[in-house]
Amino acid sequence: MGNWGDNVYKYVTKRILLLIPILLGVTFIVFSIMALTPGDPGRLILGENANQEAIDQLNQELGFDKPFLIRYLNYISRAATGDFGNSYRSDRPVFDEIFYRFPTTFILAAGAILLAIFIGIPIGVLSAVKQYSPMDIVSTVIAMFMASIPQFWLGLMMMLLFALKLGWLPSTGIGEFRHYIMPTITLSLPCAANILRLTRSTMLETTRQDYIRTARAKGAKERAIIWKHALKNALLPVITVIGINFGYLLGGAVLIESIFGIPGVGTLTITSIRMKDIPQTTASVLFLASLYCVIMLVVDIVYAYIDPRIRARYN
Amino acid sequence: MIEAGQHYKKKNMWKEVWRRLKKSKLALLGIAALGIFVFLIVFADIIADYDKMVITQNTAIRLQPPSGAHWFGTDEYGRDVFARIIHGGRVSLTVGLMTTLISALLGGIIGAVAGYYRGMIDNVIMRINDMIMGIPGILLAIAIAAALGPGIRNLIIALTISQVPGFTRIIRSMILTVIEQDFVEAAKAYGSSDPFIIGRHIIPNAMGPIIVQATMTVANMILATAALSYLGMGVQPPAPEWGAMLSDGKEYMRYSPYIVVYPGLAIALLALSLNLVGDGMRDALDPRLKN
Repeated sequence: MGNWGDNVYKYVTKRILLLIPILLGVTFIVFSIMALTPGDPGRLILGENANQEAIDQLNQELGFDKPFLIRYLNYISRAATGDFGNSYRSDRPVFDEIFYRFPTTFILAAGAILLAIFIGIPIGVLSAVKQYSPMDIVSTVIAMFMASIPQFWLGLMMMLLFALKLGWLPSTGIGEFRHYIMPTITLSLPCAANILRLTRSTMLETTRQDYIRTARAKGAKERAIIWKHALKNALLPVITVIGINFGYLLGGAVLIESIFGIPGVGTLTITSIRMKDIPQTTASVLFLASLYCVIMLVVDIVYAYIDPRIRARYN
Repeated sequence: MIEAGQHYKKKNMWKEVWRRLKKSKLALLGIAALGIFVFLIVFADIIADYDKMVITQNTAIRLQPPSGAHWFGTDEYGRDVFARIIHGGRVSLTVGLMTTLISALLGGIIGAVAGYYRGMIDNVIMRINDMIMGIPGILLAIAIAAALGPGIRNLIIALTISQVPGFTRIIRSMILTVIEQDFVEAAKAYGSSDPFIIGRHIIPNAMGPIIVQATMTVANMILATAALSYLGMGVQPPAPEWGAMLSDGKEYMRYSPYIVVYPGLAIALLALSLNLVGDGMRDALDPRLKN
């Protein structure tokens, strides 16, 4: 155990360093996609009716007269100093807008993932313990349905029922707690379904292992066997799926935010993609991608920390 | 002799899979529902005339609730919602199948090369893969679709690019497990060429999980198509598409909820039936659950 801390430190440093080429790659991909967009920024900013000279001049100022690769290298070298450019729309530094909106998206995504964990894991465990019982079949079918419905349609249906028909909740906007209820549930249900299904199948596998039989043989209480011995081991793959789902959530938030009119990073990204606001789009996608990579990194570290088999490899 | 024996065994394996698949009621339900969808979509032209019921506007009968004449009601232009759904299914199913087929093929080739040759090629391919997978899939598809502009072809391109890395990764790991097995060693010792080994021995053995993955991908692509069309990227009006129908109908959903309920149900049920089949296939193919 002695040098576990040391090794973790090395491992984490290595993984963080590995993030750099990945994020450079992500930047390159987003940059290339935006280069496919027809039109030039000068015309977009000044409008269709501006005179050609002014447009050319602005394009030159923005460095848009240079070839693609030069533009990319310029962008990277400026980004390295923390300058990711200004939004074409608001002319403010792109990360101002992102950081301003991020708390909203984070509350939404974090709330959704927590709700998904609290729904998915207990029901998944119960389902596995009572395999083929009516409760198992019902929850499996509901989970399957939840994983198959378009998330934005689920949002629309909730809005139709709880806001328009029953009038219990506000349909759009943010501010109070009430505003977050529907978007959070909408975001979390498909996630909860994924977590439930995986918890069920890993629990089924785990409860058939020898050490569970041993625990039963030595007379451990059934409740302790399920919730302590089995769940602890079954949770390992579930943690990875929670991480991946958190990533999906950030992507999925893009749609859900626009349906419920929530001014988060998702709506910002969609609007800037639509307006062909290249610096804002690049920065927003890069931000969401970095977040995703960092979450995956954290998942890997947590995984290594709780799995003694992996931990042993570092000793 | 060996050829004949192998052929016999392979046929037997799929028979065995089908025998086990039949045992799952949910999988059979999925197959039946899928059958109904495919029937309605294939014969959409015979069931409801495209020009008369899907395209032509008739404001005299706009926003009518479901009735005998219009099973799912009419939309804000007086067009039959049921007709638009079965014709719209063509787009969803085509995009879903095409995207899955192309990305499985591309991912298959790239993954096979990476897994079979290992070393430098593998490293480069997998790092590029990591970069693409670093962007949440739907976000990547939205960005590409927006840059390329609307249209079914661009939609397929955008979704395919977001799906190839997933297939590459799965097929590579399949190949890494299969390649260690004795029969591949034997084929190598026997002097078979690389493409022959990959095509004759490795791919058939990796086929099961790939089919499961592909079935679920079709479902996910149908959901993604609807999401992108909802955002206005994809199919252009007046052509019917499920996501676009939802985004048009949203304005009127307070008093005519059916125009958003039915297209959404169509998406959900089609995706659900594909997922049921995929799930059943996975269980049927799992050697640990044999007998």
